[in-house]
Amino acid sequence: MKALQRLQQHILGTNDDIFKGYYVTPKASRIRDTLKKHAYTVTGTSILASVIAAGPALDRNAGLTSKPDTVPATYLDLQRRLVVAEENAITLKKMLVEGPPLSEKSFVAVAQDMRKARTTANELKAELESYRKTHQLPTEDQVEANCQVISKKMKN
Amino acid sequence: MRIQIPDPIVQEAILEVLGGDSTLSSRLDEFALHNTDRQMLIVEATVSVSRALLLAKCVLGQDEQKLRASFQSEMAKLRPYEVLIELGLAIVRAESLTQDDVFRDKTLISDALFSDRLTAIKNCLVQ
Repeated sequence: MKALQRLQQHILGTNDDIFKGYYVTPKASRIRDTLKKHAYTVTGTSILASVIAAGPALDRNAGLTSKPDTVPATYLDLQRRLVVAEENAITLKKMLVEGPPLSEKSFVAVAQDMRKARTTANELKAELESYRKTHQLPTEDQVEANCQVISKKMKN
Repeated sequence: MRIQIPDPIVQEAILEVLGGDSTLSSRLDEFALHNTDRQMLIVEATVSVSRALLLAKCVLGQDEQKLRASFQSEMAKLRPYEVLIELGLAIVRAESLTQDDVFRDKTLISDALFSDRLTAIKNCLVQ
């Protein structure tokens, strides 16, 4: 169910308040940080952005345009692969640091896998950045500013 | 489905969830084909259920009561329309078939707890 996951990762990356008032798993917090950092928003006023920002209290008269967003699935899939690689590296590190003692051979193998996962994560970050530049997507700061504009619009 | 939902992420998610369910697909067309307000209701419903599913995967057990209360308020928006309830149930069913989820830490949110939360969401939809 990739499309359903893409929608969920988009919500997680663009909704500032989703975890407000909740204790969440450390994994969820980490994923949210990564998604937020690489959040996809081209138009700060897309319908989906407004629905996500408004949460349960959407005001349809808030003056938002209905310009359709054109989110490329490839960008969101890259984002998800980055999350998987980062989480994989963390799991492997935990195995080395907190898990039961490993034989020297296993230790070396796990350490190698951890390094591979980190390399993959770095490559994916570079790919995301290059995608942003090629498709002239906004920078991290512009995305943050967009999200704040949406939140303010919906609160007023 | 003949409706063009005004956002591609939501459109793709709905099409994936509907799969081959031509009955629900026709009912959604009937509900909102030429009505943009109702298309917005479909977007809101899809986002609400997806948000509830995300919380079900991420919130720790100590906030269970608060979580269940949020399921109630999120799902209340769908309840006036039977077709949105059906859509909500289809999204939850699709979630339970997802094999490659990346959000849930299964060591902290066990399969049993997660399944229990999915049932709670369905119960909030069908009241």
